[in-house]
Amino acid sequence: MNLKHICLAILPTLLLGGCYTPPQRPAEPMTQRPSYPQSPELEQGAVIAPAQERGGIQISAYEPASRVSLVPMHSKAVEALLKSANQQAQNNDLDGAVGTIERALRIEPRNAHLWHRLANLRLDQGKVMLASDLAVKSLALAGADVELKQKNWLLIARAKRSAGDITGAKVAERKARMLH
Amino acid sequence: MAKTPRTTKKALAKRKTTSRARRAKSTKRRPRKGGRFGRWFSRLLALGFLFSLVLGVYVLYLDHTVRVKFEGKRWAVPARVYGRPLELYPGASVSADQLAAELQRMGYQKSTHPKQAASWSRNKERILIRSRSFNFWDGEEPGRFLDVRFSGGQIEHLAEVGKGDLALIRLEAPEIGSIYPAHNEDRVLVRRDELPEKLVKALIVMEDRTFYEHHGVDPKAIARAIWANLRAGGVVQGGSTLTQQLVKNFYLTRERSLIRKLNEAAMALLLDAHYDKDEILGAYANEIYLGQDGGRAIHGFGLASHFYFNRSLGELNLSQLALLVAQVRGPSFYDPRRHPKRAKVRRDLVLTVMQEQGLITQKEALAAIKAPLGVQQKGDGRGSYPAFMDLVRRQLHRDYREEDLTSEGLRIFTTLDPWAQQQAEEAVTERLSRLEKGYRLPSGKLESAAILVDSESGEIRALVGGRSARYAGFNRALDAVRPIGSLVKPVVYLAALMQTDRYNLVTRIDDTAPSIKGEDGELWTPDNYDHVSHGKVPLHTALANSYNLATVRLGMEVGLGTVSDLLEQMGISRPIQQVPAMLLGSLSLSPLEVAQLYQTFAAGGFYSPLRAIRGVQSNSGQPLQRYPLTVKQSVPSGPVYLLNRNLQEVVRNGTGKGLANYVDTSLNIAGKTGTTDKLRDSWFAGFSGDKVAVVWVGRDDNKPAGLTGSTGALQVWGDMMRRLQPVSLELLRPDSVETVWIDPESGFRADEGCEGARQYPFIAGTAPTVTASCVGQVGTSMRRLFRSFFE
Repeated sequence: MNLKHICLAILPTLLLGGCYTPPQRPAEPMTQRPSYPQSPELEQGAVIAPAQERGGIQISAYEPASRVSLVPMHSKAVEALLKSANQQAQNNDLDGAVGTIERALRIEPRNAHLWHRLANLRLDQGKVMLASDLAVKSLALAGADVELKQKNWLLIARAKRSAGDITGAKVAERKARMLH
Repeated sequence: MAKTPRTTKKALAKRKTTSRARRAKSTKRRPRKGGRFGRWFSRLLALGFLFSLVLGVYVLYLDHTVRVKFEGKRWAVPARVYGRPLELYPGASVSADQLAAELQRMGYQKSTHPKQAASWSRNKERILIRSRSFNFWDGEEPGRFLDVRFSGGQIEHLAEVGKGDLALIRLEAPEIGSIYPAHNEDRVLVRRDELPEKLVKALIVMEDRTFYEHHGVDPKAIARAIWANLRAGGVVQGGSTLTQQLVKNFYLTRERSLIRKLNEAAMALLLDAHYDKDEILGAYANEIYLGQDGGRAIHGFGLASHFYFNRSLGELNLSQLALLVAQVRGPSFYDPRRHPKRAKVRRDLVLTVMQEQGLITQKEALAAIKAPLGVQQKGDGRGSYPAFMDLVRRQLHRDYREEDLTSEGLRIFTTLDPWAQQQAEEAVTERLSRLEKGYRLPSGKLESAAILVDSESGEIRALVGGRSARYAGFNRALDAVRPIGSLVKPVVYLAALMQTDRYNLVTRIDDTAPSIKGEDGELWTPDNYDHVSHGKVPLHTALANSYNLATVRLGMEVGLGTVSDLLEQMGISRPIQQVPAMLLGSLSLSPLEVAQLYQTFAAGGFYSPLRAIRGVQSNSGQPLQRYPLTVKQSVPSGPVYLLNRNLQEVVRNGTGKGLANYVDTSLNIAGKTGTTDKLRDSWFAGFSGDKVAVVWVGRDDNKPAGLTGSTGALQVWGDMMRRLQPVSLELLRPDSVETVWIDPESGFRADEGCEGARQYPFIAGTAPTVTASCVGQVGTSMRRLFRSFFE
């Protein structure tokens, strides 16, 4: 240590007195509640729509829901995210790619292709059970997209095979074949 | 004694003791004068040496303390918690108002022409933004100049000014809170090079003008202070250097004593000897105490900037920086929220001194003096989501130690949507007051909890823990474990529908009083809400109208064990008492658990554990942990589809009909009401195409609230959903499901020509095979033709 500085340190300590005003801490306890702004009043009965009486309710109640279309409906935003996920996967950043697909799924949660892509990434990471579960989800959303369904069954087969479930893998492969 | 020569120095003579004098006699022969002096001198020397040694060791100890703490990790940096970043892309259902609110919440400044970072302008349905850059776990999102146009509550067009269209962009993640340690010190660390030069100069000119010249202590300043204090007859001026102030805050207690003062000076000198001025200044800027937020102490300019202005330090203007410097002298005395006048006087003094010292021009000074204080209301932006933060903290505690959370400066990325949270809070507060007035209930007694979840991912978007959602307290969304009443019925019906060979939606079940003996031998006699038995009813009607008797009979047929297993399969980990009363909801769950249950319905039988956290990043930006999206099919999709169609009927025709007062029936919302004994608990759980929400209304003292599921919780639920503009629920029909025409009267297979026939979904091959008499009758084809025109 620098001797000069130590000496400098010792000497003034002997000389100094209490003559410094400390910054003031709050003397009183802060008991008052913070004041938050009140929520703005909503106009009475604003957007409330009257109950709609429907004559034909009997039949419309149980009509089948519409099917998802064959062509994937990627929006531009999802398209961009898929592209960057592919880039990340190519650079071996599988975690990054997973994150990007999850982000895309927040935009299009029912896009079966995204679920399939996620399943693929998880399979590449060796998370076979999760991969298989994700592929099942993709299947549930695939609607009439036979090709995607096939891909999902094949992915499930691969996952089952690597988990040692040979019978399960064969069943999945058969399901893929049956879709022809 | 008397013989002692007078030549001995007075000072020495005075200190002599009798015993010492006697000893002196025994050494008569030695030359008295010189010997005595020499002996005293050597004793003094020895004493002095000892004193120096002790002092030296003490200084070494101080030196060690100073260095260890300064070089080690200097501050416990609390974990910062962020909400979800807002994603902007063409087609996103984000309105201009919503984006404006988000920008305001994040401290963006509204101007006519956004020029600096974190500012924006609005021209009706068009918003220009200079966004901040933000370090996400998957890389940095750079700051950009954005042009966003809206149409019909959606983003129509998104572009970067001068660079063309953008596919998507995410704004920074809004900060929603921090997890600070028990001693309640919070701070946002800033590096020396992040300190605005004007702030540094103002600080030096106000607090320690010779900072760059002195050695840690400024004797002239001390002398000046002593003189001033003597003249004033009290403490009016301080002579402490910035270094001393730092030492005092950093190493010492608040006690005011001479010893402490000496320590302070010594340590200041040591600190100055070891480190350069900029390091000391950097430490000072992070340590200085600058305000108080309830139990939370605001330390450092970084946090103070957010605390007072809801902006980062680099974004402050001259007058704002001057106000921060003004706080150094006394954050309580000059509190700009409580004493704005005092604070302004001090701020203006800072500005005037800066101008006198030539740090700023007169013009700058005048403009800054004219400027208002610009302090934000407390609670704007961060720190007002106690219920959600509570959940985050509990989830983090599974993976992190408390000290890591409060000291490692972790960055926690969560799923909270501050906008949705605000809508949920407002719906709860407003509806409860109206319910109390409308039903003449005692005012202020009703309590509520609400939770909003993303259907497919299980991400929690909003969590309301009580009526006063902004104050920490009993977190009802997590801790109010209450009987769920009829909310359990869908599980009972699902268990039945999973037995596809026995039950479908039109299976006749018996809505008459069963006689069931409990374990205690007592007869249990449930009753319908309207005290009427409805005889044989189709299964779907029993659920839509929430018939108790039919449900109990169905549940007993299916088996209590089966229902209880299904609950477990759907993520309920609480032990379930297998008694008949559980079929009517004697089972107690928290709103969060109910949300988990209904999330599985909403996601078509896929269970995703509800998540509040997406990922955790280290202080340096390294991803530490992710909480990924997982799904598991816990229930086959066919029966869930049938159940969901039935839950849509609840809202369309059954006990949930009241929702039509809030949201359009075309949204096809699915849901279920729940009411418990003596109207103690009022529940509603349901989902749209994108969101699952659960609302509980009741009283903390468990006294009757006086509301049913439809008169209470449903009203809050409806109001909340109305504000959130949900997506309509389009159920996807699984391949295993077919639709078949059924004659509702007989429950037999019909065709579209039959009068009053309806289409019902069935698991393929399970539809009734017996045909109704109307099938194939004359005139059917005519009626079919007729129908096709009108339906």
